[in-house]
Amino acid sequence: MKAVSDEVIQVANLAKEYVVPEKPPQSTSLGGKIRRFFDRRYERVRAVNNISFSVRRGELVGLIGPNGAGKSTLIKLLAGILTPTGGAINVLGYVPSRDRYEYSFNIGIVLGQKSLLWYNIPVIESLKVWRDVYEIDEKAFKDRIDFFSEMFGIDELFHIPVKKLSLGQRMRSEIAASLLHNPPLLFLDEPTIGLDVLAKSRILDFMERVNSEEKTTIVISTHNIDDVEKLCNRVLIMDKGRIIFDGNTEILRKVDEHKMIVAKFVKKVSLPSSLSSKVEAFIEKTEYSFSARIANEDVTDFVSAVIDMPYLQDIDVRSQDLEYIIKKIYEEGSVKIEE
Amino acid sequence: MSDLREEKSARMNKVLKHLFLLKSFIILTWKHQEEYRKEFFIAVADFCVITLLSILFWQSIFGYIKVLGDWKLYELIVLSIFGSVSWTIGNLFAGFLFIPLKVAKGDIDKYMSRPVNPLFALLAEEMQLDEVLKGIITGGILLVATLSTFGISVSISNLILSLGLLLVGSFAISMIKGVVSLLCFWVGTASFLNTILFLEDYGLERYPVDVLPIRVASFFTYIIPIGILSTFPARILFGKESNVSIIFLMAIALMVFWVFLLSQMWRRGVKRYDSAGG
Repeated sequence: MKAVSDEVIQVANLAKEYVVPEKPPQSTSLGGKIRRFFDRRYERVRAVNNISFSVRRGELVGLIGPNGAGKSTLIKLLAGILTPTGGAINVLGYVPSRDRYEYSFNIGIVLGQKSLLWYNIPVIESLKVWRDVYEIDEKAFKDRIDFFSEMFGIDELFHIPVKKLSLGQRMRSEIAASLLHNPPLLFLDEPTIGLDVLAKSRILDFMERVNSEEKTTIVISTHNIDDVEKLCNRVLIMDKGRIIFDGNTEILRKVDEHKMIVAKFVKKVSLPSSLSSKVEAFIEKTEYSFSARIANEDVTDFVSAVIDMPYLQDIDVRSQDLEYIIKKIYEEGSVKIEE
Repeated sequence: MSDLREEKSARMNKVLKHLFLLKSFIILTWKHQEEYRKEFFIAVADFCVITLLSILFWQSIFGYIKVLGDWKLYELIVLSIFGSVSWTIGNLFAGFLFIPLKVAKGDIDKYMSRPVNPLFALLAEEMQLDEVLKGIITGGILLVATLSTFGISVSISNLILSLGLLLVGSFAISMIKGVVSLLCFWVGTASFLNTILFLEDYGLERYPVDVLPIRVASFFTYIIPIGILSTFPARILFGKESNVSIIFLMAIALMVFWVFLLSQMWRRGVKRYDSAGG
């Protein structure tokens, strides 16, 4: 590994443009359609738009934003998968897209929607191929396998072909394959997408432990605020290719002064007035269920009261959606965008 | 000077590592094959049917004529067998067929962020060793059966030279397919790429190119060198070719040219990769 300062990631004025077909006009003549067939026009779209930030060694950084915000593109630029169209990236002393081979010994990357494992064969066979790719000797490989087995029971999955794994099991295997070489820096792009609460919690706990025990710097992209609130101490919020907030995750709790309570009942019920009065707004209300916006300070009392109600089938406490938080951040003026 | 030496040694280590990795990928392919054992036997049957149909075709033609150009029936049967074998050898590079789709779907991310040459890994993971084995074993049996049925003896040196040329020819054609598949970085998954990528669908290698008009024959010898897959190997085997070394040099030169073009296209193309999905 190259000698680096305390800042393991340094990004300056980074930009990435994609060329996409122009949206055709809605209604045109037949002649227009034929002309467009032969003369298709393209436009440049900036997925990442002049962003700058740095990450210190050992930090656990959450990258959140709605779909299309540029999170995945940023992760892929940092991992060296994509070549930037502008600006500069320096990670651990390397320029990722240029020094791809040497650099990749020092990072791990998990792409939630793309698999590292070979679909038809048992998990252990995929791990052995990655062992050889990362030039890991037998003893180190065995130690890592023991570590993953102790952390999240990966040994139970070894003999199972990937196609027969559940999504949660597959994600555990993906993470093991990405951390086999014990990299100092780990990128995760939507690692909890589609997972149930238990599987998600298991993976987030593991990340927390890897960060604290192995001092691995972690950058995790997600559109799930709860993941970031639980795991990270710093958050970068992205919108339309820009970073609109960079700071402590406390911002999420401050801006997100409400929670969404979703409750379902097996019989018809009506909320007592003592509870209705605490509801700031009903998002949805039927005879058997409701989803309501409740101020943070009232959440504990409200949930306790709902749990005591008869015929309760299910209750869920959720953060506000990202769009709401991004809107609040814009409204509160914490966003400074340099054009 | 020492920097240069270090760089050379690092490059050498990379080459050795990739040779070692080839073994890992072969094991992976084998494990995959174990999951689909029946496919191997179906593939052998498929090879036999296609080759036997080709033999039947020549037998029917020779029911009406005595010679075709300077080709006799048994020579054309051997040419057909060589044609079938050459395409199965090309399955070592079957990965080229999948590159356009993988690039379009962003499926090469896993290699772009790992210490491995992505092009090598893409080819290694799609190597169809079972197809190659099938071609070599079945083709070998059919060749021996044909020569003994017609009572033909061939010299060992001619046999080695003809098989060597067949091998070089298969590699050269695979490199052409590779260059065509890498055009996907510029044109996406355009269907015209398939014209070259699935060249074997036309069955051109089962016919002798030297009976064609001279310009067409030259095209299939020097531009799309179908001729070095079967026509020239068969001519060499039966001692009908006087310019063996020139043909060999031409085949090697073609292969080197297309390998060079392939590496240049990969270097440029990969910078255009936009990793769809995510």
